[in-house]
Amino acid sequence: MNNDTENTASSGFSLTAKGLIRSLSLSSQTVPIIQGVDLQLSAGETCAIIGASGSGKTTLLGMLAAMDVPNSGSVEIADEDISYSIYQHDEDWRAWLRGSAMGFVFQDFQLVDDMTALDNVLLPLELAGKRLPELGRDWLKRVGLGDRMNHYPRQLSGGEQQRVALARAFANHPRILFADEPTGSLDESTGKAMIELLFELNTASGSTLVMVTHDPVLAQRCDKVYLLKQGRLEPSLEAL
Amino acid sequence: MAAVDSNFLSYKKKPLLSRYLPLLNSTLRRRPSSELGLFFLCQALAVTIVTGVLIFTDRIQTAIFQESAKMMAADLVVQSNGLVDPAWQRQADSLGLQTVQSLRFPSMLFFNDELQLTDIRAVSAAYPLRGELTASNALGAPIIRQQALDVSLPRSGEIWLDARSADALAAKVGDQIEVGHRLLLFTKVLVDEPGSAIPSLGFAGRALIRVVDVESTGLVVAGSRVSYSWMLAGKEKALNVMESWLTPRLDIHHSLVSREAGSQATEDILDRASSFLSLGGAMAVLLAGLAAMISASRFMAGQQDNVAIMRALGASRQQLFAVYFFQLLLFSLLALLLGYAIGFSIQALGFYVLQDVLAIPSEISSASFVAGAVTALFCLVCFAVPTLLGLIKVSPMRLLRSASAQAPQRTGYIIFALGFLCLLFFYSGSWQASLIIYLGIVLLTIAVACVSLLVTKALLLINDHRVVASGSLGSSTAQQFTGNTRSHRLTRESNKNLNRLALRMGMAAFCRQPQTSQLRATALSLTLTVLVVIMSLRLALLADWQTQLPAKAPNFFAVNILSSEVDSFSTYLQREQFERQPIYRVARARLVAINHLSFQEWGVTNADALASLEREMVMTESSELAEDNVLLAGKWHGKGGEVAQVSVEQGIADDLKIGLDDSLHFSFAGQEHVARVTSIRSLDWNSMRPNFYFILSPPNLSHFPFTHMTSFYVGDNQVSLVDELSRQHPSTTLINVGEIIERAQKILTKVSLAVEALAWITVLAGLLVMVASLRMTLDKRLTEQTIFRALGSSASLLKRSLWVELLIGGMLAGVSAVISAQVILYSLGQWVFDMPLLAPLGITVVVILFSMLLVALVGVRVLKSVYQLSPVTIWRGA
Repeated sequence: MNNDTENTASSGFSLTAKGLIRSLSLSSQTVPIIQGVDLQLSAGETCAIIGASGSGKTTLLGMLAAMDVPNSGSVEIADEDISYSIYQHDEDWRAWLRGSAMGFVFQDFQLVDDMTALDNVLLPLELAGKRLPELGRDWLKRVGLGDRMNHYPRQLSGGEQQRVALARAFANHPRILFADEPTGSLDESTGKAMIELLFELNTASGSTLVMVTHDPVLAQRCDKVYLLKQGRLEPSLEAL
Repeated sequence: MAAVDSNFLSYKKKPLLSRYLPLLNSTLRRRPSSELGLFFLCQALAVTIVTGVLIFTDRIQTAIFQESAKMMAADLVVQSNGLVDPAWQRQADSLGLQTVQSLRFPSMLFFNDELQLTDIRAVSAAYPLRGELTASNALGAPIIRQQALDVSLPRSGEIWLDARSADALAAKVGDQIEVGHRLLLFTKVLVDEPGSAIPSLGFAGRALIRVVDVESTGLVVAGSRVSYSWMLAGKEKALNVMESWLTPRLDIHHSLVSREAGSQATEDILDRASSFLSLGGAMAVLLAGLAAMISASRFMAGQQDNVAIMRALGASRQQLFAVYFFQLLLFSLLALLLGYAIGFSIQALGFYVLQDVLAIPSEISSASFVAGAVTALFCLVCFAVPTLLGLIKVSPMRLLRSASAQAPQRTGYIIFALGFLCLLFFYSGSWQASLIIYLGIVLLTIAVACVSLLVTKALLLINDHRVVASGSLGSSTAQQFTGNTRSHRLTRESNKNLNRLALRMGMAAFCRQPQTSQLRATALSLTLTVLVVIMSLRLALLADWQTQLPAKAPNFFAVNILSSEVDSFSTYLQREQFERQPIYRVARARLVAINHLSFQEWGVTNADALASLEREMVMTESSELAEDNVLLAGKWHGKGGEVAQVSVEQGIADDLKIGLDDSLHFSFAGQEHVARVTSIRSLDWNSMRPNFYFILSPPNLSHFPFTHMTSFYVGDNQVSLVDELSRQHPSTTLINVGEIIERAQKILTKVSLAVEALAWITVLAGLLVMVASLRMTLDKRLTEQTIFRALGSSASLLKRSLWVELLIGGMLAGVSAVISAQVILYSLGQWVFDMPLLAPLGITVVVILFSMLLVALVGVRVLKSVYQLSPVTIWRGA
């Protein structure tokens, strides 16, 4: 690992969501999805959101991660010096915020299919105007893909693709990491290995983690576990 | 805050270079998708067509002008009855133009006891400014071209005679020929000299001398019949300046001939071919553009996930636009280079075919390459950017929830439609023509959509009927679905059922995708329409042009027949059984006023008509109406009366707003003559008979100096009789029009080949649309495959149903093309060519079969990958 990587190990941001409401319009009908969610996470805390299919986990994650806009409510991320209210700005500002402060791990890996593994890892850096190929290589080595750097996603297995996604998520030193069913497309053993790696990297980086999952066992590894039910978030005692 | 990126503290934009450079750098490394490859091909094809067609038409025009200049021996000629003003020479010198003075006069040459009337041309040193002089050292000796001549012109005191004069005088090289008061030494045999009114036309005899010797011959005195030509050549810009400078200074005794005007006849013939090339080109570019749009659209659709990823990772819309625009621009630039290379090669091939009829000009205008680049940029901006603008709006939420953000197809199509209209205008230079073609394409599209709808309804009905009628089909289908067979008989039976099922499934598949099927059918239909129209026109108008002329139509014109020779000339033609037209009295005159008013005062605005009035016209008088002339208004003047009467040709009457009872003022070499319009008539200019805009009642022409003219037909076995006729009537000029027509036709036939080649390129563009639209259906087909294969359908059944679907689409395109082509041809025949015009039945059948086969073969090839997948792969893919 080069100096660049070491030096930029960062602490997480706190996340505060207040009164989030989101509904979807389906033809003439309006279906409420999130009906007033409040959430408070401290910097570096890990949190799992569990819930049944269709309960709105992904919608909530989208709003927390500055990807989707709520009908009402607010989301704030902050450290000791600065705080950002996510939805007071336009989409290009939110894109900048995502690129600067957030990292993502998706269920379907979501790698750019016409880029090599290395280019995928370098993408968030390049979007931020940084050309650091060595850093990309280091991250790929760290996730065990030192010999697959120039392979395209289709030439990699599911587990390998998710490792590339992990390297990409951490390459730009995120303050908050959002993970959407990170093991959903992997077999059990690969999924397990992946989770180990995710938590290891997250601990090293000190990022705050928000994870959506079906898996109660996985959820238990987090500091906080919430259950999303009928559009509202409640602490999951069972999981805890 | 520890180890925070300094940029993170505020939303502050980085410098432009650092914001985009790393990103564009990685774009270069991205693996191009097949859709991008298709986009590249479409762009390359559009550039190929534009560059190729423009270079071709541009060079062909230059070739014609050069040819014309060679025939004129100059780029610009002022013909007059005297020497030009010395101030004109000074102006030409100041513009850096080369000039030559040339005189032509008929004179009798003597050698021993022989005499021969010869057309003598006297020239100054730099002659010819354009073209080439050819001569030989002795009669029957090999021809020597100008570059190889030891002396490029006769020296002072020398004369070059053509073979006919030398033969008639029985003179050999080295003899002294008596020319007026001088004896000139016959040093070379003149083969051909540029600058004759019409080359190789069988003058009675020709001779070339130097201007400096003219005075000493004493042949040119006041009142002599001498025509002066002041010839100019030089750079185009200087020539244009000179022409503009000269035009207001010319009087009635001058006429200015430019190489453009000199090539008018050939140019007119080629104008139509050029129009076909341009419009065919526009059509091909349209289709290439449409294919580019579809492929770009599909490329963008495939990029929606990638864009969502980049959005999630922090890409701004500007960054995304830059990434994709850069990628498309790169491919457009590569396509531009490839298009240039292929376009240049294709036009070079075209000129290779034309080389025996047309000298190939070396210069190539850079405008054609600029037009190619503009087209590529145009395709990029109009056909790809609208979709790109939709793409960058894709939400990152797409990654979490597969809600597809559709690219704005409607806006894209509107921009495409407007863009195409501009493209048509760019090609045709006329909004009117552009709108007509545009409307035609819209109508064709609607027609294809209607036919497609009808076919779809009919297929659905047939399918329903078949399902109801074949009660056992259900059970046999179940068996055939899996393709299980046990015995040979069973195989044949099941094969039959399999075909029946494939037919039904193919028809259903066609009905399921009406939009893409229609798009394919319309695109192919458009190209096939162009192909059928061009092929039919070529067959009907070009190849059979000669046969359009009546049998034994005149192929020789005789002009300058002196009054004293009319009887002998007429007798000779009669005795030797030449098919001939009447002999007309002719004189040159200009129309100078109408009802005492100048043309401007009279309200003539037609530029062509005004330009034609600057030239002298050939006038005749006749008491008889020619058999192919038709009286449209008024009464034929017959033998006339006390008042001078004139009959006017319909076209010029319309252009000049001349009606019955108007007074026309003519100037015959400065003498004014007024005649009243008593009739308007139409005539056939292509009849090869002497035809006239104005026919006076007799004996009005007799007051002025006149000669006679006629035309006659010379059969293959009568050629030697023409020589004898010429020998007996040395002052008469015989013009072999058949030869000129043959040459023009030769050029036209070859150019029409180029037009047809372009039509085939248009088909190629249509194919690209087809490939692009078929690829649009790939995903849907893969899903269908998954379901059908999972339910037990065999690959063979699905392939057969694909054949059925594609053949129906091909038939639809072929039938629509044939119908629309017939409508277009009928309209052209009715309103443009005035002849029945329809595509031959053979062509229509071939086109329909060709269309079906083309769609099927291309379709199977494009969709091969889907139908070759094993069930396991399909299942995994699903």
